[in-house]
Amino acid sequence: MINFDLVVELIKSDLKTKYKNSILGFLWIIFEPLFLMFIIYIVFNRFMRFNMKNYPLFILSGTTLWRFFVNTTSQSLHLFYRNRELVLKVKIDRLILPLSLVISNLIITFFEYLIYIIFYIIVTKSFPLVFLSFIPYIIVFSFFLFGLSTILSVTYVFFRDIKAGWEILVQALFFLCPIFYPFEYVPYNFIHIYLLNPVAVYIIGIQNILFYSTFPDTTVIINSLFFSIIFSLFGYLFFNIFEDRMVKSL
Amino acid sequence: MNRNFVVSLKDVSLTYYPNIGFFKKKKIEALKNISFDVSRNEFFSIIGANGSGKTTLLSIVSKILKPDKGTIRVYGNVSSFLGLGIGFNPELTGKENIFLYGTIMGFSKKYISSIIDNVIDFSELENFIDMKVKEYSTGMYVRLAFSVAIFTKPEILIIDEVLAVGDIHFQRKCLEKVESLKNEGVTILFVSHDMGMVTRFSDRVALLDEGELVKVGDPEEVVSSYLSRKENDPIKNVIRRGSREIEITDIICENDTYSFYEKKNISFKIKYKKNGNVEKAIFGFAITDQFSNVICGPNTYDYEGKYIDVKDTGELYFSFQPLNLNPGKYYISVAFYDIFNRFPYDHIDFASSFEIVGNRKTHLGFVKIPVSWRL
Repeated sequence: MINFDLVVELIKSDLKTKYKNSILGFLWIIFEPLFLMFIIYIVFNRFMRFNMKNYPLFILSGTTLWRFFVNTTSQSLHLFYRNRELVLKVKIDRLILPLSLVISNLIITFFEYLIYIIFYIIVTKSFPLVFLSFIPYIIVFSFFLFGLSTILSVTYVFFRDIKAGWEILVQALFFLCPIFYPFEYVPYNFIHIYLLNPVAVYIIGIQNILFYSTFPDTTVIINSLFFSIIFSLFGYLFFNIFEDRMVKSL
Repeated sequence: MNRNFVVSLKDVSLTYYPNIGFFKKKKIEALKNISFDVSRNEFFSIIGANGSGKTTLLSIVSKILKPDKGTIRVYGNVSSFLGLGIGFNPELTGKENIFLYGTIMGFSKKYISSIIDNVIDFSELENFIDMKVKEYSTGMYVRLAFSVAIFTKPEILIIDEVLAVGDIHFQRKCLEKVESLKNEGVTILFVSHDMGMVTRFSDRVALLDEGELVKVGDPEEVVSSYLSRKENDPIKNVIRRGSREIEITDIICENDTYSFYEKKNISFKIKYKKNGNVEKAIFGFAITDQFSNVICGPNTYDYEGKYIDVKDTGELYFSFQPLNLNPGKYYISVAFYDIFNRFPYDHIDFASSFEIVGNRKTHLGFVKIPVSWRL
């Protein structure tokens, strides 16, 4: 049975440390996307004359989810090392660590999307109701991240090399996701391979909801659920198999 | 149900595989076929040199680690303190950390809210409770952690050396608490390097050496056999703590014998090297009995008002006259401390020993003081 009080305390502690010490604190959640949008606007609309309506909003809808993915997975690598004391000296359910990592980043992402929605309303003067489905959708994505982060954090204890490998993979994945270009640009013959990248699927899904304001089509929904279930189940099993060995290697 | 044993280990073994690279595999056999039982309401201590497996053993009883082989049975709920303040977030205030640490200890939020005033009260940190923990001194940190920890209601309490920190006043308060828990019927498993504490409180003591259980039994007997073992193995297996920014590399008795009559000077030479960026330090030594009771503890600051100018490698000498010391075996602790005499760079207990011989009969106590009687 998971100790939810502890999950809550760990998340609170994490968020407080992130925002309490800076002068602007939680306001950074607004400034970061605002600044990014400004730069994108200058570079793509003024310099490169990239012709897509509301292009800065398009980019922001994808990069926000991308940052959720990158921050969570990169923080997960050191997770058990950073919390060695908790792992080795206290009897707690250790899955609480990746769980609270993901939830804490989920909360930040939620607020970032709220800011995004405010931008969207300002720019387009409309608020499509389908937007509300972004909440369950990023929760589904969190299950995928929970599984992946668990696998990464356990593996890192055995093979440090995974960090370097993962960084390269993440850079490659970035270009293999429709963040700076719309998904329609992907040639038809490559679509099936392209959709094998789970992150691309989730980004397409979130862009459907929050940029094109349509409900994602069935293939995207099914693929999203599929990846979330498979990854979280596999992560859970992986952890149970290797937990004991991992603790003795820490 | 009336069981005699609340903790029972049978042939427990555990091996660590520290990760030192993909191709280099190393293994450390931390525990080898350990078997023992602890009775209800017993104060059971485990002693042994650093790395002998004491903490691993406590982790197994706490169910934090699973043994590779053997069986372990624990009847009753366990609270274990293998370190105090684990999971403290230095960026949070004392009060916030009470909630964080409390939930880590397994308390519900409701329970913490109900005890928080008592926690703050016990810690004597009322004025600092809204301050960030990173601004706390080590002593305050420990006080806060221990004050939360004592509000557990365990049947079995596991304590690993956590009492060794903090000021004397607070240490005594904690010991009183531990004793009162024992009187309430709690079983206690205790690890300490403080042989005085071990002999004073324990009902039984177990001695571990390189993962093997050497001896279990009467405290005084096990402690003395531990201390006599160590003598054959001078600086390597001693009880040692500190940051090692200054490291004592050798301690040599300048006399050609270890046995003395009380009027003869005893001289020691210390060799040290510097590992960190330390310019000044206090050097001190102490004469103790086999249970670490300090008989006297001179240091350069208290006696001479002087600090040591720390060189990259250096030597220093001290000699003393064991005037009035009763015949018996004595131990020398040597230590380098920071200029406030608070944190050890290197502190070695039982670093050396000497013996006072005399044709006097044994006297009670350590010293003979000048006494005039009117009979």
